[in-house]
Amino acid sequence: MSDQFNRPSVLKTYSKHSGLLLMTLPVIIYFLIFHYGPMIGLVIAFKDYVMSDGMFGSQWAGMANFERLFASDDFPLAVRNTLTISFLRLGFGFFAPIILALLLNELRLEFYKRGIQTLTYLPHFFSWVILGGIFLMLFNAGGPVNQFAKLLGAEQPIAFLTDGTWFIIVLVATGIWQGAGWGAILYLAALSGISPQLYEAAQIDGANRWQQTWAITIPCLIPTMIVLFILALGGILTAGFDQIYNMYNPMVYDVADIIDTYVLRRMFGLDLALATAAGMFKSVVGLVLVVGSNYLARRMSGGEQGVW
Amino acid sequence: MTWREQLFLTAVALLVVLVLALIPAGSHGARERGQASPVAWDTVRDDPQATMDLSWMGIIAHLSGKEGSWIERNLEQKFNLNIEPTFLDWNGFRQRRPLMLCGGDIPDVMWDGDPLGVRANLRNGFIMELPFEVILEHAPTYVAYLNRFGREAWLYSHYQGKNYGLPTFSAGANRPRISCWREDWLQNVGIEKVPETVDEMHEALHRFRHNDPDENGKQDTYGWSPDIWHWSLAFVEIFAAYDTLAFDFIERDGKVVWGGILPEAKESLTTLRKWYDEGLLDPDFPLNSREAGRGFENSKTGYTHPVDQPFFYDLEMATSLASKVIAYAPKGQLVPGPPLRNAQGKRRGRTWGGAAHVLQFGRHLEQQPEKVIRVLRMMEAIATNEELYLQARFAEQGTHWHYTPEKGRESLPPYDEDQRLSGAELLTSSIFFFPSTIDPIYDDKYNSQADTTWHETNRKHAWAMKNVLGKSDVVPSASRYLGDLRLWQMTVYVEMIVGERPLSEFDAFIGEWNERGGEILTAEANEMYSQMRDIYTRVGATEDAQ
Repeated sequence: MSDQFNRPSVLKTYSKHSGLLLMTLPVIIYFLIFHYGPMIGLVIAFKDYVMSDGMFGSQWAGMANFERLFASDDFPLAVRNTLTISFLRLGFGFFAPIILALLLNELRLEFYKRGIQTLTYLPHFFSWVILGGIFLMLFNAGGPVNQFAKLLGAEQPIAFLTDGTWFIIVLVATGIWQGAGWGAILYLAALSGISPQLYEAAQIDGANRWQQTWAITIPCLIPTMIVLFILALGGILTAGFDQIYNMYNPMVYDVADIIDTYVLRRMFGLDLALATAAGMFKSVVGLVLVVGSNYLARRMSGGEQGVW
Repeated sequence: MTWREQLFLTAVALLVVLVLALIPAGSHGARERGQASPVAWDTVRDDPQATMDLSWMGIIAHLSGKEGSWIERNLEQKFNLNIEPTFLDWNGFRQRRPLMLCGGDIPDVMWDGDPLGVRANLRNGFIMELPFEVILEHAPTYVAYLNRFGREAWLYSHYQGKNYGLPTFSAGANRPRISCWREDWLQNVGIEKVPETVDEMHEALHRFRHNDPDENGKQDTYGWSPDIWHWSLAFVEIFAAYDTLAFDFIERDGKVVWGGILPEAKESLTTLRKWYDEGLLDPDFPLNSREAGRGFENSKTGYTHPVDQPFFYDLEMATSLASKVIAYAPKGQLVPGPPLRNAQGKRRGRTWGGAAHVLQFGRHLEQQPEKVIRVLRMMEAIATNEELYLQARFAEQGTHWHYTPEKGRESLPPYDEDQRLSGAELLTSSIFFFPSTIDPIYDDKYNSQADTTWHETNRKHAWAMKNVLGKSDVVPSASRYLGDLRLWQMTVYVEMIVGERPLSEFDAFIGEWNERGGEILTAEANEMYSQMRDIYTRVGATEDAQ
């Protein structure tokens, strides 16, 4: 039997809920104006863009801008660096908020828990202009971290900021430090949504806290984790411009020049077509990853998990 | 949902998106490139009595600049103008200006500091052609000074045989940039005179590191913390002492070559590598990008570059370098370090040279070319008249400033204290309207005797080394290769200096530099060099005066 005999048509449903729809209208208009409208601007990625001729008056250039992008020495390197940094962030950074949320969840003293929570999400509100300056000071050759290393017996200062590998480690670690507390908020919200009955039942069955965590808490967090993971994949070509721009130096350009810093250099040269092509490349890859991972999540969970 | 409903909803959504997207595009309007007829300059007449509106986006200025300043009113009155200035700071220039131009808000007169910027404006159809002959006809004295003090600027406004704006110059910038030493430190480590050669510099830096120049009993000082935030500063004094400029095109045996791939560059790097190895350079110097000169200010190092003006040494000025040093080290004393001597004993120091920027004219002025003529005549009048020149740069003598032989040109109260007031009355950049400086003819007369002597002693014109093309960005493929190539070169250099990459890879570096676009840039630079001679002949700039 076909669906349409059982369900009212979409238009009828819409008219039935017209009040609610009216309320979503401002949001829809906002998205159309500020998010969908500007997408038309992507045409300049396929144009020989001349500003005074406008977006539509400029000549078509086919894929020339993309060819120019990938023919340069620096863009493929920037893509590689972006991917490296992003995967490291994802690999190490994804679980940090989960662990933090689980730990916070175990705290029983309310004021202590709130205190720790505030302290851990506070760094999220500091701009990288400030944080970058602080970390440059902390990690430089004569800085406190190296002084400490010296006390522990290091003969040479460790080149935290000028050695490529160390720089990436510092980048990822400080990024986690800045973002974990903020990221934990969502998980804490998910944790508070778990029914106490589940825990009570488990306690009656004699489960200890560790077993409760494994058997109840973590499985209940999985939907949230999957949604956040899919969304994080969408940003895989966004490696954290603010942080890198405020911390990098000529010695680490070869590992820290990412797509966004590359695009910025092109923008300053008013080469908007190339910058748009690079931006579009980022978005398309992000879209494919989000759609693909969502599809996989749905396949593997029998249609229960996923963003949509 | 039925397929009809789906189709309907999709169609509605697409329609909304399209309508929204076309609203801004519609008002923009598509202009045909290259269709507008070139101006018949012979027939253009400017009636000096007719009042003329003029929108003016001058050099990057402090935002306290306001419309209606004394300087603006004075020029408006003298030249029958109604000027509408746009003040942009550095961020505004980079971020707000492209949006303004994209939105069709193109000023009549528009400053750009960089040949690449002029090219981008040209490519995007913002600016008009201004033939050499028109400038020569209406501003001959201005051109004579330009040819004398900064003729390379003709290349900045030039593209494929045509000229796109009025080149500007800064006659004072022909002097080499120089350094500064801690005089008290030199004395404390037993050095009598300011180092003049690479070897003497090495000795001084070595003692700064090992002989406790700040006399605090700890080995907590370094010789030098080189600034690498801009390529034009990076180790430039050492490269110059070895007769090269590592990030510039220079001339060798009649050919243009990139100074950074010459054996002289390798020699310089070898020296710097040794210094780094001996611990003379602050190991954190690669991080200096955002903290230019900080180590010198807080007495961590005893040498810094560049320190070009006498006011850096002025203890009466709270923001001067000397005042900042004193705040950390009460006994701190500074002494200028003129350029080092090369192997032949001649002092050598980099300069940008007098060629400065370009004042461009909006493409819409093809319909009002008389505005261009008026501006050129104004430039000519200012260049030929000392009083007007001083007014255009510093406002009125006796009201806003005065001159004494002891102190030179000084602001008068209340303009000396209240920055907002002086911003409103005098603008914040003295080259906002008249974009060039004719120092040896006018400005220098109003320097104090001490300042004049200071410059003559420490920054002789004859010591200067400059890029043979003025700025390397003039070569056609610069926008494609030069920026990234310079960044990469800086990385390789710093890695070689700190020992992360062996100096033996210098030859491999040359090969890769050529492959990454360097070969193309060099070929184009040689092409430009020969064109430059033609341009000089056309504009009558056959001799490099300074």
